[in-house]
Amino acid sequence: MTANLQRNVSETDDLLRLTDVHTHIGQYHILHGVSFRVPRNQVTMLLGRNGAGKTTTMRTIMGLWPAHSGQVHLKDRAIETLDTMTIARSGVHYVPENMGIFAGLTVEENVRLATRQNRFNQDRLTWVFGLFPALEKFWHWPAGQLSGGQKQMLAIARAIIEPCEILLVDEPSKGLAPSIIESLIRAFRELKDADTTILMVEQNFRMASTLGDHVAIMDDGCIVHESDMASFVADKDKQASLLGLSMEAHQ
Amino acid sequence: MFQSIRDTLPQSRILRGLLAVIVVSLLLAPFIFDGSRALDTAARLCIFIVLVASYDLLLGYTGVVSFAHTLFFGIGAYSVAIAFDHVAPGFGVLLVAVVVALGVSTVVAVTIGLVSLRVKAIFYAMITLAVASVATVLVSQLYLYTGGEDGMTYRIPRVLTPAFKLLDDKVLGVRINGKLLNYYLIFTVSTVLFLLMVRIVASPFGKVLKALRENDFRAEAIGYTTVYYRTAATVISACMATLAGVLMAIWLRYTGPDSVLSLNIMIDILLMVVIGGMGSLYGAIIGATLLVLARNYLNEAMGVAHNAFIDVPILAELFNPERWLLWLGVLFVVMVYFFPLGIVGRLVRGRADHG
Amino acid sequence: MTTQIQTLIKQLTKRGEPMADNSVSVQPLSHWHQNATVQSGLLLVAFAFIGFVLIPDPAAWMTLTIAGLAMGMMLFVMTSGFTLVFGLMDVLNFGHGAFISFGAFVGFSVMAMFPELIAAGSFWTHIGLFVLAMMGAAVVVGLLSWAFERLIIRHVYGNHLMQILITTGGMIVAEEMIYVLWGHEERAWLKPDSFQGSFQFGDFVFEKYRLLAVIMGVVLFILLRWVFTHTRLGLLIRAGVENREIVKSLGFNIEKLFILVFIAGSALAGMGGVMWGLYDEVITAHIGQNLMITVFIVAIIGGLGSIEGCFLAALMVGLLTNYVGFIFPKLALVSTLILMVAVLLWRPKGLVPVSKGDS
Repeated sequence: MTANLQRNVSETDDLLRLTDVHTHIGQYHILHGVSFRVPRNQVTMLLGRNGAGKTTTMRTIMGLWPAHSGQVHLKDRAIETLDTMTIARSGVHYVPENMGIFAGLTVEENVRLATRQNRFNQDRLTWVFGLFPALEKFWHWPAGQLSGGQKQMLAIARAIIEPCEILLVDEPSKGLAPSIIESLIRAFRELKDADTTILMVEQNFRMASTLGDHVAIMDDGCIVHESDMASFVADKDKQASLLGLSMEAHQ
Repeated sequence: MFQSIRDTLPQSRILRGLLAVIVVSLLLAPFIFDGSRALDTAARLCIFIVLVASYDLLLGYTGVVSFAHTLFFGIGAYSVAIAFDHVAPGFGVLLVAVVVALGVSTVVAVTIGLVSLRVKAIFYAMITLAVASVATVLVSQLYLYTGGEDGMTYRIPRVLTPAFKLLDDKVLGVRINGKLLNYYLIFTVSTVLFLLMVRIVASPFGKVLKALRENDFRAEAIGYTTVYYRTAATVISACMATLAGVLMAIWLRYTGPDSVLSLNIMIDILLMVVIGGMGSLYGAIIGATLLVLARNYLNEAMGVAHNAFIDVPILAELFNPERWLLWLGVLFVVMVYFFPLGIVGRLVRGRADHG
Repeated sequence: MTTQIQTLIKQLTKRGEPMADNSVSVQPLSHWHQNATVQSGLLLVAFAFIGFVLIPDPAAWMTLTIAGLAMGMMLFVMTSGFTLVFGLMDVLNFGHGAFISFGAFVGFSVMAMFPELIAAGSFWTHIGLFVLAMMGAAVVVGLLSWAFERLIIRHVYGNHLMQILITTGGMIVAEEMIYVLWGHEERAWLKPDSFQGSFQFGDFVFEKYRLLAVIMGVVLFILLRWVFTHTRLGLLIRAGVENREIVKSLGFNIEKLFILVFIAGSALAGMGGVMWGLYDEVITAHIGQNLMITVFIVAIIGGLGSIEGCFLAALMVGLLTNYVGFIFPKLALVSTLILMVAVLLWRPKGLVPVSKGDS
């Protein structure tokens, strides 16, 4: 009885769950059985060195690379065989590694494209402008003329303009100045306070440890560690052995 | 050299048989087939085999689609035509014309290569098509030298004409005259050129081309410069086509836009390469033969069907003997779709699958 | 002093890169002369001006300019679909020319159904017939292209070699089908009475049909521009040309979008075929094949995938062909080829390059 109850809780608690996912790109076998969970209303950090397979994992969840075997569950629904469009429509919103801004469209058009009815919900828009004031200022600019940080803000704004089940964010801090990273952290914290479920790939350990509730670490296409963030932050030995120099470099 | 050529022969026994039949028929054509029309077909076939194989050097071995191949064919033919018409029909003049033609073709091929390599590779097809059509326009505009749309008829060295008699008696019912010499000149030169191409493909150079076709990024990483090898392949292919054009001009004693430059010839070449098999020079022999046979005999079969359906409006038109290209076009699409490696690829792979 | 000048120069030359602390500006800072579309537009005007200088007789210049604009508009209608299909899906359709030919023949047949109206009708009936012929061509060619996409192009996504070969094959078959359906002879297609002739305005003579073609082209261009800038569909197409993966991740059906664009683009080619056929007053199965060469040149000059670039390049090619054709009649086609090479050496991605993926 108790066991049964517990399983129910854990099932409903995980918004996204990967089980033994294998992904091939061309002739290369990239993911070798990836399993981890993304708890609801929490921020899960996917960490690991370059080439560990983090971006491939994100793209596999999004259906941009087909999973060769294994399951991806969104709530209780298996989504690994669905196409990208259907996955996106089921509420998985994605901020890709290179932001994927449409440079020739204005900021407004970029965001409007992500709305469902081609119209803005004023409250939602005000909220997004509150998170990223720069966007309001440059609302009618071609997005290609924004700075790197502003493009990242635009990419995130595009992903949250409609309510979503889960937000996938691939390395938002990449190539940004520390002050911009601070403002991104503030924005993500606000999203977190609004109970958004987030799965984020990150190399910046400060950002990861401040924002994360849950953590999964990848190496060579496998998950080598999964726990809550607090216990991982406390365990210095584990950090050293799993993240090595990369963590210190960022600290 | 012969050993290395033998190594390139396809493994399939059916294919070897087919090739042997075609080559022997061409060798004995004057003695097996009756009439000047059959001889004419055989000579054109020899020339087209060289032309198609040279195109395959580009398409099959570098994966580049060019629509300017007839341009080089035309350069060869027009050089000879202009030289014979404006200077004199002689072998010395012919030699000069061939050298000039090869030079012009090389320059043009390098220029096209450099301009289109600056942009994306897919532009190549579009740019070559534009260049080829401009060349056609130029030829028809510069009629003082080229004869314009009508083309030019000229005399060729007398030893290559029917008027020149080698023996007074017939051998096996065939007159031994200049025309026969001409045919064997075409046959011999074509054979040599074809074997030369086979040799090039089997050489280390050919292996690099294949590597580039499979994965140019990796080949470049190993240290082969794509631009250099592609341009070299383009030039070799262009020169072979030029020589085929020279042969055409000698055989026909006529050169005009329709016989060497038109887009229809380009489409014929494409059909022959794809149906025969890309990436295997022997496919050129099969493809060219098939197309020539189809052109001569598909007509008749369609004529029968046409008469059978004469009362059904559209169906009858579908089988109108003039519409043979329609059916070859359908065959072409089906081949590209189902057997991208053509008949040769199919036969060779079919064997590999079973063995 | 020097530092002041340097700052000034820096301000003048800097690309409008917004800074986070920039509190005033709301409009893009980018200088108008750095805009590729504006530059190309100026180039076009320069073309017309050079023509004006080189052609001694203003009346002749005016006639040639109108003819060039008319030709340019028709080229634009024919090329827009080709360039969009490439931009959106990386599909190189060598069979596009066959759609032009088919359109011309369908339009011809539609018009031939109303001999009394052509003989007796007024200007407006003729306009109605013209539009009807274009609609008929658009519908038939649209259906045809739908089948073409399903049967042929769908299977060769992402493989340019196969695309070029298989669409060339499709073109051969389509052209032969025109022979089967409409016979082997070329067809004379006379303009209705009210489209023939010209009217005079001072020294200048305007041919009616050319003006009509210019107006039709402008209307179609404005319509297309409106779709692109004011509708969600247009927004999606522009976004898809830049980065189709992101469009998918935003939850859109990119395949459906592509089929739609493919059909619409082919329908436009068919309409262009009608306009061209009536302009030339003779149609053959080969017109598409012959026009394809110019279509390629226009698409490359404009920048594959760019609708503004396509429009400007089409007008440029139209003007150049007519001016050069007047001065050196033999070099018209050669001049467009030279223009293409010159543009590619200046801008390898064409006049108005489409930014692809990387922002």
